[in-house]
Amino acid sequence: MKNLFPHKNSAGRARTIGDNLLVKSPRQQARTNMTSNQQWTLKLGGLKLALITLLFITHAAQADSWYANTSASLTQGSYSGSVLRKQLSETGLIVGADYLEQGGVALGLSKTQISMKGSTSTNQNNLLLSGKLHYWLDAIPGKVTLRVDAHRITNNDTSGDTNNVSALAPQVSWLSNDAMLYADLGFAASRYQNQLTANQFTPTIGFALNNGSDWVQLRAYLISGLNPARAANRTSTQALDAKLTHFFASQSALVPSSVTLSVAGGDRLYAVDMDAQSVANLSDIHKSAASLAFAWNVTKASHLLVVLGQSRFQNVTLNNNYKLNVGYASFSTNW
Amino acid sequence: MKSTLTALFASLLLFATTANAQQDPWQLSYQFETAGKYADAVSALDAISANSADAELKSLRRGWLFYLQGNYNDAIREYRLASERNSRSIDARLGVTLPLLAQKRWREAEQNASAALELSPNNYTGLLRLAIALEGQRNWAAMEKAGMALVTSYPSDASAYVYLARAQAWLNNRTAAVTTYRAVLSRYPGHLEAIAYIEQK
Repeated sequence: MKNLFPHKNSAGRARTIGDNLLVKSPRQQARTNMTSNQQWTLKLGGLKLALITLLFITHAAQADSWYANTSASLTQGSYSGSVLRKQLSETGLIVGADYLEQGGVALGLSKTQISMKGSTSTNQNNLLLSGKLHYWLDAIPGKVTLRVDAHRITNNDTSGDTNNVSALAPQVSWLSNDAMLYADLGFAASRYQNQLTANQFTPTIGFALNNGSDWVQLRAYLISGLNPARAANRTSTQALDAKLTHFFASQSALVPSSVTLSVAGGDRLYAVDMDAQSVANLSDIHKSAASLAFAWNVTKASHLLVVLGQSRFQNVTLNNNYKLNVGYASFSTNW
Repeated sequence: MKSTLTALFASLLLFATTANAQQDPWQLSYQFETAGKYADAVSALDAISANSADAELKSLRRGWLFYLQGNYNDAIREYRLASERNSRSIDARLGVTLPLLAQKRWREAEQNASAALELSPNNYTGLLRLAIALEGQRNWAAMEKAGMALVTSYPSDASAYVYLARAQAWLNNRTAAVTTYRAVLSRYPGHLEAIAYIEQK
Protein backbone atom coordinates (compact mmCIF):
# COMPACT_ATOMS: atom_id res chain seq x y z
CA MET A 1 0.00 0.00 0.00
CA LYS A 2 2.44 2.53 -1.25
CA ASN A 3 2.04 5.82 0.57
CA LEU A 4 -1.41 4.95 1.76
CA PHE A 5 -0.06 5.31 5.25
CA PRO A 6 2.89 7.49 4.40
CA HIS A 7 3.96 7.93 8.00
CA LYS A 8 4.16 4.20 8.57
CA ASN A 9 6.42 1.64 7.05
CA SER A 10 3.91 -0.24 4.94
CA ALA A 11 5.34 -2.48 2.31
CA GLY A 12 2.14 -3.70 0.68
CA ARG A 13 0.20 -2.01 -2.00
CA ALA A 14 -3.53 -1.70 -2.27
CA ARG A 15 -5.39 -1.09 -5.43
CA THR A 16 -8.23 1.32 -5.45
CA ILE A 17 -11.39 -0.49 -6.24
CA GLY A 18 -12.09 -0.30 -9.93
CA ASP A 19 -8.53 0.14 -11.14
CA ASN A 20 -7.52 -1.26 -14.45
CA LEU A 21 -11.02 -2.12 -15.45
CA LEU A 22 -10.85 -2.82 -19.09
CA VAL A 23 -13.86 -2.48 -21.28
CA LYS A 24 -14.46 -2.81 -24.96
CA SER A 25 -15.86 0.41 -26.22
CA PRO A 26 -19.37 0.11 -27.58
CA ARG A 27 -18.27 2.42 -30.30
CA GLN A 28 -16.03 0.61 -32.68
CA GLN A 29 -13.72 3.46 -33.39
CA ALA A 30 -10.92 3.55 -35.85
CA ARG A 31 -8.41 0.82 -35.26
CA THR A 32 -5.04 1.64 -33.96
CA ASN A 33 -2.66 3.39 -36.26
CA MET A 34 0.17 1.20 -35.09
CA THR A 35 1.30 -1.70 -37.18
CA SER A 36 1.67 -5.09 -35.58
CA ASN A 37 5.46 -4.76 -35.94
CA GLN A 38 5.43 -1.54 -33.98
CA GLN A 39 3.31 -3.13 -31.28
CA TRP A 40 5.68 -6.10 -31.09
CA THR A 41 8.64 -3.75 -30.75
CA LEU A 42 6.88 -2.01 -27.90
CA LYS A 43 6.10 -5.29 -26.17
CA LEU A 44 9.69 -6.45 -26.61
CA GLY A 45 10.91 -3.10 -25.32
CA GLY A 46 8.72 -3.41 -22.26
CA LEU A 47 9.92 -6.96 -21.63
CA LYS A 48 13.56 -5.95 -22.01
CA LEU A 49 13.04 -3.07 -19.64
CA ALA A 50 11.37 -5.38 -17.14
CA LEU A 51 14.17 -7.93 -17.32
CA ILE A 52 16.92 -5.33 -17.00
CA THR A 53 15.18 -3.78 -14.01
CA LEU A 54 14.63 -7.18 -12.41
CA LEU A 55 18.30 -8.07 -12.87
CA PHE A 56 19.31 -4.73 -11.41
CA ILE A 57 17.04 -5.19 -8.39
CA THR A 58 18.24 -8.75 -7.81
CA HIS A 59 21.84 -7.63 -8.02
CA ALA A 60 21.20 -4.60 -5.85
CA ALA A 61 19.54 -6.67 -3.15
CA GLN A 62 22.78 -8.55 -2.64
CA ALA A 63 24.57 -5.43 -1.48
CA ASP A 64 24.35 -4.38 2.17
CA SER A 65 23.02 -0.94 1.46
CA TRP A 66 20.11 -2.18 -0.64
CA TYR A 67 16.83 -3.39 0.78
CA ALA A 68 14.65 -5.42 -1.53
CA ASN A 69 10.94 -6.03 -1.26
CA THR A 70 8.36 -8.00 -3.18
CA SER A 71 4.61 -7.89 -3.19
CA ALA A 72 2.29 -10.44 -4.76
CA SER A 73 -1.38 -9.62 -5.13
CA LEU A 74 -4.64 -11.19 -6.16
CA THR A 75 -7.87 -9.37 -6.99
CA GLN A 76 -11.26 -10.92 -7.56
CA GLY A 77 -14.28 -8.87 -8.52
CA SER A 78 -17.86 -9.43 -9.48
CA TYR A 79 -19.98 -6.97 -11.48
CA SER A 80 -23.54 -6.28 -10.51
CA GLY A 81 -25.93 -4.66 -12.97
CA SER A 82 -23.41 -4.34 -15.78
CA VAL A 83 -24.68 -5.08 -19.26
CA LEU A 84 -21.16 -5.74 -20.51
CA ARG A 85 -19.07 -7.38 -17.80
CA LYS A 86 -19.34 -10.31 -15.46
CA GLN A 87 -16.16 -10.79 -13.48
CA LEU A 88 -12.73 -9.41 -12.92
CA SER A 89 -9.56 -11.14 -11.79
CA GLU A 90 -6.04 -9.83 -11.54
CA THR A 91 -2.71 -11.14 -10.38
CA GLY A 92 0.26 -8.91 -9.83
CA LEU A 93 3.83 -8.86 -8.67
CA ILE A 94 5.94 -5.88 -7.68
CA VAL A 95 9.65 -6.16 -7.00
CA GLY A 96 11.47 -3.20 -5.55
CA ALA A 97 14.75 -2.19 -4.00
CA ASP A 98 15.62 0.81 -1.87
CA TYR A 99 19.11 2.16 -1.38
CA LEU A 100 19.26 2.95 2.35
CA GLU A 101 16.86 5.87 2.78
CA GLN A 102 18.08 7.65 -0.31
CA GLY A 103 15.82 6.27 -3.02
CA GLY A 104 14.62 3.20 -4.79
CA VAL A 105 13.26 1.54 -7.89
CA ALA A 106 10.35 -0.82 -8.42
CA LEU A 107 9.06 -2.92 -11.23
CA GLY A 108 5.50 -4.18 -11.32
CA LEU A 109 3.80 -6.60 -13.64
CA SER A 110 0.15 -7.57 -13.44
CA LYS A 111 -2.31 -9.43 -15.55
CA THR A 112 -5.98 -8.51 -15.66
CA GLN A 113 -8.77 -10.61 -17.05
CA ILE A 114 -12.35 -9.46 -17.42
CA SER A 115 -15.03 -11.96 -18.31
CA MET A 116 -17.56 -10.30 -20.52
CA LYS A 117 -21.14 -11.27 -20.97
CA GLY A 118 -21.26 -13.43 -24.05
CA SER A 119 -18.37 -15.70 -23.01
CA THR A 120 -15.64 -13.42 -24.36
CA SER A 121 -12.96 -11.97 -22.19
CA THR A 122 -10.46 -9.20 -22.35
CA ASN A 123 -6.90 -9.77 -21.21
CA GLN A 124 -4.61 -7.01 -20.17
CA ASN A 125 -0.97 -6.67 -19.15
CA ASN A 126 0.05 -3.80 -16.90
CA LEU A 127 3.66 -2.79 -16.58
CA LEU A 128 4.92 -0.35 -13.97
CA LEU A 129 8.37 1.12 -13.61
CA SER A 130 8.86 3.42 -10.66
CA GLY A 131 11.79 5.39 -9.32
CA LYS A 132 12.08 7.67 -6.31
CA LEU A 133 14.61 9.86 -4.58
CA HIS A 134 14.44 11.19 -1.03
CA TYR A 135 15.72 14.54 0.16
CA TRP A 136 15.70 15.97 3.66
CA LEU A 137 14.93 19.59 4.34
CA ASP A 138 16.18 21.48 7.36
CA ALA A 139 14.16 24.63 6.66
CA ILE A 140 10.86 22.72 6.76
CA PRO A 141 11.98 19.68 8.72
CA GLY A 142 10.95 16.59 6.86
CA LYS A 143 11.53 14.26 3.98
CA VAL A 144 10.83 15.28 0.40
CA THR A 145 10.34 12.48 -2.07
CA LEU A 146 10.43 12.84 -5.83
CA ARG A 147 8.81 9.87 -7.49
CA VAL A 148 8.10 9.07 -11.10
CA ASP A 149 5.92 6.18 -12.21
CA ALA A 150 5.80 5.02 -15.80
CA HIS A 151 2.84 2.85 -16.79
CA ARG A 152 2.32 0.81 -19.89
CA ILE A 153 -0.88 -1.11 -20.60
CA THR A 154 -1.54 -3.51 -23.45
CA ASN A 155 -4.60 -5.64 -24.07
CA ASN A 156 -6.73 -7.33 -26.71
CA ASP A 157 -9.25 -4.54 -27.00
CA THR A 158 -10.06 -4.69 -30.71
CA SER A 159 -11.22 -1.09 -30.76
CA GLY A 160 -7.82 -0.01 -29.52
CA ASP A 161 -9.43 2.49 -27.17
CA THR A 162 -7.91 1.01 -24.03
CA ASN A 163 -4.92 -0.68 -25.63
CA ASN A 164 -1.36 0.67 -25.78
CA VAL A 165 -1.90 3.12 -22.96
CA SER A 166 1.04 5.04 -21.56
CA ALA A 167 1.07 7.20 -18.48
CA LEU A 168 3.83 9.16 -16.84
CA ALA A 169 3.12 10.18 -13.27
CA PRO A 170 5.59 12.30 -11.31
CA GLN A 171 4.86 13.17 -7.70
CA VAL A 172 6.52 15.33 -5.09
CA SER A 173 5.67 14.60 -1.48
CA TRP A 174 6.69 15.86 1.93
CA LEU A 175 6.48 14.07 5.26
CA SER A 176 7.32 15.91 8.45
CA ASN A 177 10.10 14.53 10.65
CA ASP A 178 7.61 13.65 13.38
CA ALA A 179 5.49 11.85 10.77
CA MET A 180 2.39 13.77 11.80
CA LEU A 181 1.87 15.76 8.60
CA TYR A 182 2.02 14.82 4.94
CA ALA A 183 1.39 16.55 1.63
CA ASP A 184 1.94 15.68 -1.98
CA LEU A 185 1.24 16.97 -5.44
CA GLY A 186 0.99 14.44 -8.18
CA PHE A 187 0.61 14.88 -11.90
CA ALA A 188 -0.18 12.25 -14.48
CA ALA A 189 -0.15 12.55 -18.23
CA SER A 190 -1.93 9.64 -19.87
CA ARG A 191 -1.91 8.92 -23.58
CA TYR A 192 -4.49 6.68 -25.24
CA GLN A 193 -5.02 5.71 -28.82
CA ASN A 194 -7.81 7.26 -30.88
CA GLN A 195 -7.40 10.88 -29.85
CA LEU A 196 -7.50 10.73 -26.10
CA THR A 197 -5.23 12.25 -23.50
CA ALA A 198 -5.80 12.92 -19.83
CA ASN A 199 -3.95 15.32 -17.56
CA GLN A 200 -4.42 14.72 -13.87
CA PHE A 201 -3.45 16.69 -10.79
CA THR A 202 -3.75 15.07 -7.37
CA PRO A 203 -3.13 17.46 -4.48
CA THR A 204 -3.08 15.51 -1.22
CA ILE A 205 -2.87 16.20 2.47
CA GLY A 206 -2.51 13.74 5.31
CA PHE A 207 -2.29 14.22 9.05
CA ALA A 208 -2.12 12.15 12.18
CA LEU A 209 -4.64 12.30 14.98
CA ASN A 210 -4.63 10.98 18.54
CA ASN A 211 -0.87 11.08 18.84
CA GLY A 212 -0.36 9.05 15.70
CA SER A 213 -2.96 6.36 16.37
CA ASP A 214 -5.10 7.59 13.50
CA TRP A 215 -4.29 8.93 10.08
CA VAL A 216 -6.46 10.96 7.74
CA GLN A 217 -5.69 11.42 4.07
CA LEU A 218 -7.58 13.56 1.58
CA ARG A 219 -6.78 13.55 -2.11
CA ALA A 220 -8.44 15.45 -4.94
CA TYR A 221 -8.48 14.08 -8.48
CA LEU A 222 -8.57 16.92 -10.98
CA ILE A 223 -8.59 15.48 -14.48
CA SER A 224 -8.70 17.67 -17.57
CA GLY A 225 -7.86 17.76 -21.24
CA LEU A 226 -10.30 14.98 -22.07
CA ASN A 227 -11.77 14.48 -25.51
CA PRO A 228 -15.57 14.55 -24.97
CA ALA A 229 -16.08 12.04 -27.79
CA ARG A 230 -14.04 9.54 -25.81
CA ALA A 231 -14.90 10.59 -22.30
CA ALA A 232 -18.65 10.47 -21.75
CA ASN A 233 -19.05 13.97 -23.16
CA ARG A 234 -16.71 15.35 -20.50
CA THR A 235 -13.66 17.52 -20.88
CA SER A 236 -12.82 17.32 -17.21
CA THR A 237 -13.78 15.53 -13.99
CA GLN A 238 -13.29 16.16 -10.28
CA ALA A 239 -13.33 13.68 -7.44
CA LEU A 240 -12.22 13.37 -3.84
CA ASP A 241 -10.81 10.42 -1.89
CA ALA A 242 -10.89 10.29 1.89
CA LYS A 243 -9.15 7.66 3.99
CA LEU A 244 -9.19 7.13 7.72
CA THR A 245 -6.70 4.68 9.16
CA HIS A 246 -6.54 3.44 12.72
CA PHE A 247 -3.35 1.76 13.91
CA PHE A 248 -3.59 -0.92 16.56
CA ALA A 249 -0.88 -1.29 19.16
CA SER A 250 -1.56 -4.99 19.76
CA GLN A 251 1.34 -7.30 19.05
CA SER A 252 -0.91 -10.28 18.42
CA ALA A 253 -0.59 -11.64 14.91
CA LEU A 254 -4.38 -12.06 14.80
CA VAL A 255 -5.13 -8.40 15.43
CA PRO A 256 -4.64 -6.21 12.35
CA SER A 257 -1.89 -3.66 12.59
CA SER A 258 -4.25 -1.19 10.93
CA VAL A 259 -7.71 -0.79 9.47
CA THR A 260 -8.46 1.76 6.78
CA LEU A 261 -11.86 3.04 5.75
CA SER A 262 -11.81 4.66 2.31
CA VAL A 263 -14.57 6.55 0.59
CA ALA A 264 -14.51 8.26 -2.77
CA GLY A 265 -16.98 10.65 -4.32
CA GLY A 266 -17.29 12.75 -7.45
CA ASP A 267 -16.66 11.71 -11.02
CA ARG A 268 -13.41 10.48 -12.43
CA LEU A 269 -12.34 9.18 -15.79
CA TYR A 270 -9.03 7.66 -16.82
CA ALA A 271 -7.58 8.28 -13.38
CA VAL A 272 -4.10 7.25 -12.30
CA ASP A 273 -4.10 6.04 -8.70
CA MET A 274 -0.96 7.39 -7.09
CA ASP A 275 -1.18 5.07 -4.07
CA ALA A 276 -2.00 1.84 -5.85
CA GLN A 277 0.24 2.88 -8.75
CA SER A 278 -2.30 1.82 -11.33
CA VAL A 279 -4.17 3.27 -14.28
CA ALA A 280 -7.93 3.03 -14.70
CA ASN A 281 -8.22 2.79 -18.46
CA LEU A 282 -11.95 2.33 -18.33
CA SER A 283 -14.12 4.67 -20.36
CA ASP A 284 -16.95 4.51 -17.82
CA ILE A 285 -17.32 7.17 -15.15
CA HIS A 286 -16.18 6.08 -11.72
CA LYS A 287 -18.88 7.58 -9.53
CA SER A 288 -18.07 6.48 -6.01
CA ALA A 289 -16.36 3.82 -3.94
CA ALA A 290 -16.09 2.57 -0.40
CA SER A 291 -13.71 0.00 1.00
CA LEU A 292 -12.26 -1.43 4.16
CA ALA A 293 -8.62 -2.48 4.27
CA PHE A 294 -7.11 -4.69 6.95
CA ALA A 295 -3.34 -4.95 7.31
CA TRP A 296 -1.44 -7.51 9.35
CA ASN A 297 2.22 -7.74 10.21
CA VAL A 298 2.62 -11.48 9.76
CA THR A 299 6.29 -11.34 10.69
CA LYS A 300 8.71 -8.50 11.14
CA ALA A 301 9.33 -8.50 7.40
CA SER A 302 6.07 -9.86 5.99
CA HIS A 303 2.78 -8.09 5.68
CA LEU A 304 -0.67 -9.14 4.59
CA LEU A 305 -3.23 -6.73 3.27
CA VAL A 306 -6.88 -7.54 2.59
CA VAL A 307 -9.27 -5.04 1.02
CA LEU A 308 -13.01 -5.46 0.57
CA GLY A 309 -14.98 -2.85 -1.26
CA GLN A 310 -17.51 -1.69 -3.76
CA SER A 311 -17.29 0.80 -6.61
CA ARG A 312 -20.06 2.33 -8.66
CA PHE A 313 -19.72 3.14 -12.34
CA GLN A 314 -21.78 4.69 -15.09
CA ASN A 315 -21.63 3.89 -18.76
CA VAL A 316 -23.13 7.00 -20.31
CA THR A 317 -23.46 5.57 -23.81
CA LEU A 318 -25.44 2.57 -22.65
CA ASN A 319 -27.12 4.44 -19.80
CA ASN A 320 -25.91 1.63 -17.54
CA ASN A 321 -25.19 2.15 -13.87
CA TYR A 322 -23.46 -0.80 -12.28
CA LYS A 323 -21.36 -1.89 -9.32
CA LEU A 324 -18.20 -3.81 -8.83
CA ASN A 325 -17.77 -5.78 -5.62
CA VAL A 326 -14.17 -6.62 -5.16
CA GLY A 327 -11.76 -8.38 -2.84
CA TYR A 328 -8.04 -7.77 -2.92
CA ALA A 329 -5.25 -9.48 -1.05
CA SER A 330 -1.53 -8.85 -1.17
CA PHE A 331 1.39 -10.41 0.61
CA SER A 332 4.57 -8.44 0.78
CA THR A 333 7.91 -9.17 2.24
CA ASN A 334 11.18 -7.32 2.76
CA TRP A 335 14.42 -9.18 2.28
CA MET B 1 52.32 56.91 41.42
CA LYS B 2 53.82 53.48 41.69
CA SER B 3 50.45 51.89 42.38
CA THR B 4 48.94 53.73 39.40
CA LEU B 5 51.66 52.42 37.12
CA THR B 6 51.19 48.92 38.47
CA ALA B 7 47.43 49.09 37.83
CA LEU B 8 48.00 50.43 34.32
CA PHE B 9 50.49 47.66 33.57
CA ALA B 10 48.11 45.02 34.90
CA SER B 11 45.27 46.41 32.77
CA LEU B 12 47.43 46.38 29.67
CA LEU B 13 48.50 42.80 30.39
CA LEU B 14 44.89 41.72 30.87
CA PHE B 15 43.84 43.45 27.65
CA ALA B 16 46.69 41.84 25.74
CA THR B 17 45.84 38.41 27.13
CA THR B 18 42.15 38.82 26.28
CA ALA B 19 42.90 40.10 22.80
CA ASN B 20 45.27 37.20 22.25
CA ALA B 21 42.66 34.74 23.49
CA GLN B 22 40.04 36.21 21.20
CA GLN B 23 42.29 35.62 18.25
CA ASP B 24 42.41 31.88 18.93
CA PRO B 25 39.57 30.52 16.79
CA TRP B 26 39.20 27.34 18.84
CA GLN B 27 38.81 29.13 22.12
CA LEU B 28 36.42 31.61 20.55
CA SER B 29 34.38 28.79 19.08
CA TYR B 30 34.15 26.98 22.41
CA GLN B 31 33.15 30.20 24.16
CA PHE B 32 30.39 30.85 21.64
CA GLU B 33 29.17 27.26 21.99
CA THR B 34 29.02 27.59 25.75
CA ALA B 35 26.95 30.74 25.29
CA GLY B 36 24.62 28.87 22.93
CA LYS B 37 25.72 30.99 19.96
CA TYR B 38 26.25 28.07 17.61
CA ALA B 39 26.30 30.05 14.37
CA ASP B 40 29.01 32.32 15.80
CA ALA B 41 30.87 29.23 17.01
CA VAL B 42 30.92 27.99 13.41
CA SER B 43 32.00 31.36 12.04
CA ALA B 44 34.87 31.49 14.51
CA LEU B 45 36.36 28.47 12.75
CA ASP B 46 36.48 30.21 9.38
CA ALA B 47 40.02 31.35 10.10
CA ILE B 48 41.24 27.76 10.10
CA SER B 49 42.50 26.72 6.70
CA ALA B 50 40.98 23.68 5.01
CA ASN B 51 44.53 22.49 4.31
CA SER B 52 45.83 22.89 7.83
CA ALA B 53 46.58 20.06 10.24
CA ASP B 54 43.42 21.02 12.11
CA ALA B 55 41.16 20.62 9.08
CA GLU B 56 39.83 17.26 10.25
CA LEU B 57 38.98 18.65 13.67
CA LYS B 58 37.38 21.65 11.99
CA SER B 59 35.05 19.36 10.02
CA LEU B 60 34.14 17.35 13.10
CA ARG B 61 33.45 20.47 15.09
CA ARG B 62 31.47 22.11 12.32
CA GLY B 63 29.44 18.90 12.06
CA TRP B 64 28.65 19.02 15.75
CA LEU B 65 27.78 22.72 15.71
CA PHE B 66 25.55 22.36 12.64
CA TYR B 67 23.81 19.47 14.40
CA LEU B 68 23.19 21.65 17.45
CA GLN B 69 21.60 24.27 15.19
CA GLY B 70 19.34 21.72 13.54
CA ASN B 71 21.17 22.08 10.22
CA TYR B 72 21.29 18.34 9.79
CA ASN B 73 22.22 18.26 6.11
CA ASP B 74 25.21 20.54 6.75
CA ALA B 75 26.18 18.39 9.73
CA ILE B 76 26.07 15.21 7.63
CA ARG B 77 28.20 16.86 4.95
CA GLU B 78 30.85 17.90 7.48
CA TYR B 79 31.01 14.50 9.18
CA ARG B 80 31.32 12.81 5.78
CA LEU B 81 34.12 15.20 4.92
CA ALA B 82 35.85 14.17 8.13
CA SER B 83 35.39 10.50 7.21
CA GLU B 84 36.94 11.13 3.82
CA ARG B 85 39.93 12.72 5.45
CA ASN B 86 40.33 9.89 7.91
CA SER B 87 38.58 6.67 7.02
CA ARG B 88 39.43 5.19 10.44
CA SER B 89 37.83 8.04 12.35
CA ILE B 90 35.38 6.64 14.87
CA ASP B 91 34.43 10.21 15.80
CA ALA B 92 33.23 10.90 12.27
CA ARG B 93 31.23 7.68 12.03
CA LEU B 94 29.56 8.22 15.38
CA GLY B 95 29.10 11.93 14.76
CA VAL B 96 27.15 11.47 11.57
CA THR B 97 24.68 9.16 13.31
CA LEU B 98 23.35 12.14 15.27
CA PRO B 99 21.90 14.12 12.34
CA LEU B 100 20.89 10.90 10.60
CA LEU B 101 18.91 9.78 13.64
CA ALA B 102 17.40 13.25 13.92
CA GLN B 103 16.16 12.91 10.34
CA LYS B 104 14.94 9.35 11.05
CA ARG B 105 17.31 7.90 8.46
CA TRP B 106 17.53 4.73 10.48
CA ARG B 107 19.28 2.55 7.91
CA GLU B 108 22.02 5.04 7.23
CA ALA B 109 22.47 5.59 10.96
CA GLU B 110 22.69 1.83 11.48
CA GLN B 111 25.27 1.55 8.73
CA ASN B 112 27.48 4.24 10.27
CA ALA B 113 27.11 2.91 13.82
CA SER B 114 28.08 -0.54 12.53
CA ALA B 115 31.08 0.95 10.75
CA ALA B 116 32.17 2.58 14.01
CA LEU B 117 31.76 -0.74 15.81
CA GLU B 118 33.93 -2.45 13.22
CA LEU B 119 36.68 0.00 14.13
CA SER B 120 35.94 -0.20 17.82
CA PRO B 121 33.95 -3.29 18.81
CA ASN B 122 31.72 -2.82 21.86
CA ASN B 123 32.15 0.95 21.73
CA TYR B 124 29.46 2.30 24.08
CA THR B 125 28.22 5.15 21.89
CA GLY B 126 28.34 2.94 18.83
CA LEU B 127 26.20 0.26 20.45
CA LEU B 128 23.77 2.81 21.83
CA ARG B 129 23.30 4.57 18.47
CA LEU B 130 22.97 1.18 16.79
CA ALA B 131 20.23 0.21 19.24
CA ILE B 132 18.38 3.48 18.52
CA ALA B 133 18.66 2.98 14.76
CA LEU B 134 17.35 -0.56 15.06
CA GLU B 135 14.52 0.60 17.29
CA GLY B 136 13.55 3.07 14.58
CA GLN B 137 13.40 0.21 12.10
CA ARG B 138 11.41 -1.91 14.57
CA ASN B 139 14.06 -4.58 14.20
CA TRP B 140 13.55 -5.93 17.70
CA ALA B 141 15.68 -9.06 17.38
CA ALA B 142 18.74 -7.12 16.23
CA MET B 143 18.03 -4.44 18.83
CA GLU B 144 17.99 -7.12 21.52
CA LYS B 145 21.43 -8.28 20.36
CA ALA B 146 22.77 -4.73 20.54
CA GLY B 147 21.19 -4.38 24.01
CA MET B 148 22.83 -7.62 25.14
CA ALA B 149 26.20 -6.39 23.93
CA LEU B 150 25.62 -3.13 25.81
CA VAL B 151 24.74 -4.71 29.16
CA THR B 152 27.58 -7.22 28.86
CA SER B 153 30.19 -4.53 28.29
CA TYR B 154 28.62 -1.82 30.45
CA PRO B 155 26.85 -3.65 33.30
CA SER B 156 26.50 -0.55 35.46
CA ASP B 157 24.75 1.50 32.78
CA ALA B 158 21.00 1.99 33.11
CA SER B 159 20.47 3.07 29.47
CA ALA B 160 21.98 -0.18 28.26
CA TYR B 161 19.36 -2.10 30.21
CA VAL B 162 16.55 0.19 29.04
CA TYR B 163 17.25 -0.58 25.37
CA LEU B 164 17.55 -4.29 26.07
CA ALA B 165 14.28 -4.27 28.02
CA ARG B 166 12.45 -2.40 25.27
CA ALA B 167 13.54 -4.93 22.68
CA GLN B 168 12.48 -7.83 24.90
CA ALA B 169 9.12 -6.17 25.52
CA TRP B 170 8.50 -5.74 21.79
CA LEU B 171 9.51 -9.35 21.27
CA ASN B 172 6.68 -10.29 23.66
CA ASN B 173 9.18 -11.77 26.11
CA ARG B 174 7.57 -10.22 29.18
CA THR B 175 9.42 -12.35 31.71
CA ALA B 176 12.80 -11.29 30.37
CA ALA B 177 11.65 -7.69 29.94
CA VAL B 178 10.45 -7.46 33.55
CA THR B 179 13.77 -8.88 34.79
CA THR B 180 15.69 -6.38 32.67
CA TYR B 181 13.50 -3.45 33.73
CA ARG B 182 14.13 -4.49 37.36
CA ALA B 183 17.82 -4.28 36.56
CA VAL B 184 17.16 -0.74 35.28
CA LEU B 185 15.58 0.18 38.61
CA SER B 186 18.64 -1.13 40.47
CA ARG B 187 20.76 1.28 38.47
CA TYR B 188 18.25 4.13 38.17
CA PRO B 189 15.70 3.97 40.98
CA GLY B 190 12.41 5.59 40.00
CA HIS B 191 12.90 5.11 36.26
CA LEU B 192 9.40 5.86 34.93
CA GLU B 193 9.47 3.58 31.90
CA ALA B 194 10.67 0.62 33.98
CA ILE B 195 8.06 1.17 36.68
CA ALA B 196 5.26 1.58 34.11
CA TYR B 197 6.16 -1.67 32.36
CA ILE B 198 6.59 -3.72 35.52
CA GLU B 199 3.25 -2.51 36.89
CA GLN B 200 1.51 -3.29 33.62
CA LYS B 201 -0.85 -6.25 33.82
